[in-house]
Amino acid sequence: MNIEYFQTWFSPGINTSILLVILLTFFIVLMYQKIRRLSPTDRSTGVVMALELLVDFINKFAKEHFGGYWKFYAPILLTLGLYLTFANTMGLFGIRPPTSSINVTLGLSILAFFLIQGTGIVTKGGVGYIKGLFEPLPFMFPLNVIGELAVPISLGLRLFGNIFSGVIITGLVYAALGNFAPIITPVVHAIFDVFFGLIQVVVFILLVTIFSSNSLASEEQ
Amino acid sequence: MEYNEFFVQGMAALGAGIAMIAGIGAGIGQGMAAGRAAEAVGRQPEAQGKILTTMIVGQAVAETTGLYALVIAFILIGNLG
Repeated sequence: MNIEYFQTWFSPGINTSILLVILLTFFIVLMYQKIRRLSPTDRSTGVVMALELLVDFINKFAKEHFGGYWKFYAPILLTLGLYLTFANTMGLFGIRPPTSSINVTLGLSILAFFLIQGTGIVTKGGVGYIKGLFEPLPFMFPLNVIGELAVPISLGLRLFGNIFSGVIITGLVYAALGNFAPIITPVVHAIFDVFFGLIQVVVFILLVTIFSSNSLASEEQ
Repeated sequence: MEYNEFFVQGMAALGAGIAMIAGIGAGIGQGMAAGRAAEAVGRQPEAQGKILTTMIVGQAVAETTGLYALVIAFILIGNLG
C-alpha cells in the first residue's frame, strides 16, 4: 500500500489532525509516567508544574460554570484546548493547520452539538428536554430547533473561517514577495497563527462552555 | 447576451466581491467594541485586563458575520476552476 493511497483517502486536514492526535497522546502518556513516579510531598518543577497550573485553571473554570457537574466537563475542555492550541498554531512548523479544513472544524462542532444536547437531555430528562423546546410558546418549536442546530454550525464555521483566511493571506504574502518573503512573514505568522489562533481557542472553549451550561437544568445551578 | 460558462464565471467572481461587502459590518462592530473598551479603560484603568479579554472575545464573535461572507466568497470562487 503506497503513500498516495492514504493521501487521497484522507482529506487534507485529516492527515495532520491524526498526526497531531498521535503526538499529543504520546506526550500525555509520557507525562503520566513521569507524574506517577513523583511523591505528593515533593515540590513540582518544570513541565509538571506548568501542567498542574493548567489543570488547576481548567478545574476552576469548570467549577465556575458547571457547579456540581464540573468533573465531567473539565477533561473535555482541557482536551479541546490542547488540541486546538496546537492545531491552530501548526502553521509555525510549516504544516497547514488541520483546522483550516472544514472537515475537521465541523467534526469538532458535531462534538460540541452532542455535548450541548446531551447535557440538556441528561440533566432535564427526556420529557423536560422536549418540553424545553416548546418554550416560551408552543409555536416557537421550529425556531428553537433551528436555533439549536445553528449553534454548532456557527462554531465550526467561525473556527474554519478564521484559520483558513489566515492561511490564504499568509500564502498570498509568500507568493507576492518571493525571495524577500522572510523579511515580512514573521509578523504575518505572529498575527495570524499565534494571535488569532489562540484567540479562537479561547472563543471556542468559552462558547462551548456557555452553551452547555445554559442547557443545564436551571435548579441544579 | 450569451449565457455561456464564461458569463457564469464572471458573475461568480462579481458575487464573491459583492459578498465581501459584509466585511463593513464586522469592521464597524469591532471598531465600536474597541472604542468602548478604550473608554472603559479610561474610566477604570485597574480593570484593564478583564476589559481587554472581554473585548477580544466579543470582537471574535462579532467577526463571525464577516467570516460567513468570506466562506460564501470562497465557495463562489471555487466555481471559477
